[in-house]
Amino acid sequence: MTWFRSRLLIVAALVAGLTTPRAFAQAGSAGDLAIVTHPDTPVDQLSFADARQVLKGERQYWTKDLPVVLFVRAPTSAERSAVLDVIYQMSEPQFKQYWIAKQFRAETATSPKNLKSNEATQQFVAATAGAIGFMAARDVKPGVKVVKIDGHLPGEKGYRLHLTGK
Amino acid sequence: MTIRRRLTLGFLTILTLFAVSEGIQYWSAQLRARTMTTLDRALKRQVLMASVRQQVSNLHNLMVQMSQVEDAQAVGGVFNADIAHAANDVHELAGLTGEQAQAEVAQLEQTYATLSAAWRGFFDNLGADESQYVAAQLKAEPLGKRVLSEILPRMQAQQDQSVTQARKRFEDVTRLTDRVSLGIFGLSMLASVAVAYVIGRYLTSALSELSVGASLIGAMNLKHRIAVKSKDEIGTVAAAFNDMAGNLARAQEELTAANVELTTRNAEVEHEKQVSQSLLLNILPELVAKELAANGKFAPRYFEDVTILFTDFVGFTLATEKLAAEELVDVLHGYFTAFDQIVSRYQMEKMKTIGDAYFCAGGLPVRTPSHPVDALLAAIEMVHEVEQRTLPGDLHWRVRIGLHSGPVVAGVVGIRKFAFDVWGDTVNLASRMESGGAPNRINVSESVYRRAKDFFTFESRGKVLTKEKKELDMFLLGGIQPALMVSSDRGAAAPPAFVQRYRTYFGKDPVAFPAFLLNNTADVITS
Repeated sequence: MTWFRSRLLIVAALVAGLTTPRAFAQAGSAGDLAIVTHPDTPVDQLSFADARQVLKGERQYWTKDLPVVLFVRAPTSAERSAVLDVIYQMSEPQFKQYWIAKQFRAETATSPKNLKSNEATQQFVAATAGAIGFMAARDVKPGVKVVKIDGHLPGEKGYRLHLTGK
Repeated sequence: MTIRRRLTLGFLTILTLFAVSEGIQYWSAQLRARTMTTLDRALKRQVLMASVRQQVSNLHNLMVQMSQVEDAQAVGGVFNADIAHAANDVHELAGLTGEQAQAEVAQLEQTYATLSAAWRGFFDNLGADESQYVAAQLKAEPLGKRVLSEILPRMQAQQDQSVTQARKRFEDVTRLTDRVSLGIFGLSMLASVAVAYVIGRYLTSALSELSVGASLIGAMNLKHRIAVKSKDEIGTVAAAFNDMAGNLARAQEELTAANVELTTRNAEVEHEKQVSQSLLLNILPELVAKELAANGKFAPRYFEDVTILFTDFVGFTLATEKLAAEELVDVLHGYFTAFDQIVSRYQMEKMKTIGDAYFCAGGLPVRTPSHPVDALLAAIEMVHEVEQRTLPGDLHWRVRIGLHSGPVVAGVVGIRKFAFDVWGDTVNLASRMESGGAPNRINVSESVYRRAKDFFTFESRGKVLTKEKKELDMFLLGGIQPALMVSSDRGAAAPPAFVQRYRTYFGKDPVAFPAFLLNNTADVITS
């Protein structure tokens, strides 16, 4: 029985190690910014350019029947500053003006939903089909899917999104 | 059919067409009103739909923009009125929509109800409960997008089609009613023209026939009959004209016959009148005859100045013994015929013959101042005629001629074989001049002498005792004053000097002049 238990623990440990690589990545990415989506979103990784396209609202549908629902962090948050700095490459006023102009040009019928906390981001992305958002990688919990950027997860070498900016 | 009935029928026909036209107009108005109502509802729906679209778009955009405001506060109460207003428009739109599009409207109503609840959730919780307003926004965005991108465009397309159909229906109806109205109007015009033409043509034709017939009958073509067979007023007038023409023809025939008879009678009367007038003129002066014919009588009248001429043949009694009665009458007839011509030429009036005596007068019945001179010229011609004439049995008659001028009374006496005659001393004195004269000489009284001495030469005989033992101054005519016979142009009717003096005294030309004196100025009565 002891042997059986010891073997079962070893197998469980191996299974756990194989199926949750993010846990490892997350463990090594405490200062990275994670791009998260609803688990059913048919996207696992995006190029940096694709991620920018989605976050700027230039791509509005994942599939024909699945629109992109964008969640952003509220102003003054470190995550928002990082995204504006790295992806949008805009200041806060420019960001707001960008979306207002986009709406007035009828290029979009939606706008980013501001959320005040990573927990809220975790909650809404997990609950909203087609949702995509960003949050501190350290706060990511099961229920959302962390998307690879240019083939890298947060915490991995070559990952470009960090809370500290460029 | 009478004219009145024809006109009434024509008027009723036009009235009927007018009523039909009015009915068509009423029908057209009703049809247009119905289609107009449909079009109006469609346009109203279109307006409402645009309003709903605008309101939904505004609220949606407002929600999206409000979501980007950092320190946004709940403003639910501010937009509730707008949300409710849009809901009213949707409800009103449902009321104006027909059964065909009811499903779409129901879907809009249902979606809008959900959408408005989401909006209220958003605006009520904005800035207060993040999870609530974000959840509301997440719910509202796709609904708004669905309303704006799917439901309203689909309804708009249906509505556009509906408006197009309504407009087309309205245009079709308008076109149809216009055509029908125009057709009825044209038909009415044609019918009116046709009725007017038929009635007018009939009346014109009949009246023209009547007019021509009346003109022909008026021009006395009484055999003409007006060919109007109708039973109306014109036919009655035509029949009356025809009857009148027949009556006139009969009257004309009778009148013509009467005229022929009258003409014959008139011709006979005229002939008789001419015969009697001719006879009357043979025995009476023309003036006297006319007055007598006109008045049935000739009133005796006084002529203050006339010249009486008497002739008497010397040796007539001896001649009666040598000549047979017929020969004697023939001789007398020859002389008196010549005397008649001379007297007529000098415009004197023969009064009568008494045996071998010839009695005429100058200056009556037409008064003329030249009668002594004219009578002397006539007497000269009479003497010449007697001298020139040769009688059977180698006889030579001579004539005594006496003249006297003075007043007489002239008149017609008797009722049978009446004759124009003169009375007075002048006649007796003229007779005494004749009886106291000499053969082939012209013996005149002093009055004649004084009146004619400037034209003629006289030989005074002094006072001669008449058979009444009265002494009278008598003068024998010598001839025409020699001064008046000089420079006598050959071919002239009278010597110019004589004519000139005659004109001076009497204001006219002599009516005649003895022609033999023009060829032989020496031949004067001096023998």
